Amino acid sequence: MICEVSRGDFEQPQAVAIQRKFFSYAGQDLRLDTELEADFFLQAGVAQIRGWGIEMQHGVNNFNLDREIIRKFLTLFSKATTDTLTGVEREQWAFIIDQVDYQRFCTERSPAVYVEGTLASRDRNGWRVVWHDGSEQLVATAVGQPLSLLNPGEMFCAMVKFGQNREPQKIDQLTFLVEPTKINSDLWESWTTSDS
Amino acid sequence: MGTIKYRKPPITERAVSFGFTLPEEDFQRKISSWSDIVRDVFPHSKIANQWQISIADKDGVPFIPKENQKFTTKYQFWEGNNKRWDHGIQVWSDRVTFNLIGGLQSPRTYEDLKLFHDEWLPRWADYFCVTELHGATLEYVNLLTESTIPSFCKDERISIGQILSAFVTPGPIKALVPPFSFDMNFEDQRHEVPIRFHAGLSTIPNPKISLKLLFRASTEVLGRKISIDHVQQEIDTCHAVILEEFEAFFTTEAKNSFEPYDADTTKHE
Repeated sequence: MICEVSRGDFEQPQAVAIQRKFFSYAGQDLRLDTELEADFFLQAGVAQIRGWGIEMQHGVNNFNLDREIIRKFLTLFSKATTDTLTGVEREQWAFIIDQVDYQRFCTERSPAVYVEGTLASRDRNGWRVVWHDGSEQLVATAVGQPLSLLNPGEMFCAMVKFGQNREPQKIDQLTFLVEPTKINSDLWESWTTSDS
Repeated sequence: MGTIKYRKPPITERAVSFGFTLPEEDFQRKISSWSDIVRDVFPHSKIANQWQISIADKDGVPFIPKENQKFTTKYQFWEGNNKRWDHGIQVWSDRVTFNLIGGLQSPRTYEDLKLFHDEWLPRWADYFCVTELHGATLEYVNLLTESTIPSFCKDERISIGQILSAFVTPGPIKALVPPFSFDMNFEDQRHEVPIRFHAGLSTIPNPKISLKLLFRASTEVLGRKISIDHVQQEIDTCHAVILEEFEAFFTTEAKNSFEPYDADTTKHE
């Protein structure tokens, strides 16, 4: 409840919630743990995204917030990985990294990996697969379409993109295997171990 | 007498819109590529960020409360040119609108709007994976200005008392002084689904005085679910309600100037 008001309010920045936690542009996604907030300077016609160093002019068309948010994040991410952040950027990065779902970002950026497995069974919810390390997993119907080429008991190798909780998100380049790949087994067996 | 239609109604824009609920991630992923899907038909795309700052009043002093301030983004896809849009689709994270711009030079009918959304609503719904809507809202903008009501404009003044029945004055003084405005809301319970009707009049002062009379009929209720296949009937009902109110809001004198004809027996020229 406001007790005292004055016309000076219009000169002060007004906090406005930008009710968004997910941004997507050109195939790159970014999730936040908390909603964005902006400070609106009504007299100047400018809004600043709090903590991000992004400014929006009122009335300017085609300001794509998704693009700007993702660009800002990737710019600072690149600089952070090469340790070239300036003082101001360091502050922004500390704020942003706290707001972004960084684990999700890293998982989604991870490349597809080579895996081998055996199709154990198929049911209404998807395909049950035994991976080469012995672990068993249900691959959801929406993701596992390439597995429909296999009969239960058949072995395969593929490039699989895993997401959060090691859930397969995409299966590519599926190939039938008669037996576990010899080359890989040889490579693995000859690999230097920590006690050798 | 059959169905009365008008050759020169003052309607300059017709729009139908639909509210929906979609998870934020699904919407944002789809909207970034929707412009690619529609580019051939709607080559002009725009992003308009809207600041909705509400101003309250305390003891006559305006102030900006902490609550109810909102920022929304509207994605627009238009056919036409910057000077004059012809028709387009506007999308918010919870609403889609199909707009048809008309006017005296290019009169557009309800049937034109129907053809437009009949083609694009299912395509839009398929792409965004929307199967249920909250209802439908139909809006017609009537522009009352020298070009649409020439016989009621003189010396840069509009004889509003001769046009709108709500402004017919009971006393001998007839020269009403602008600005003119009103907002009226009704609920029409005669139909299977209640229709909320709104009529709003506002004055546009520049360059010459003109008035904007908005008619809006809606069946939308947040949380209500109706399939896309069933929504057409509700739009037809909204249209019928607006037609009734159009007949009631405009005076006989004004309607005669819109050049009425019997649509059942006369071919629209």
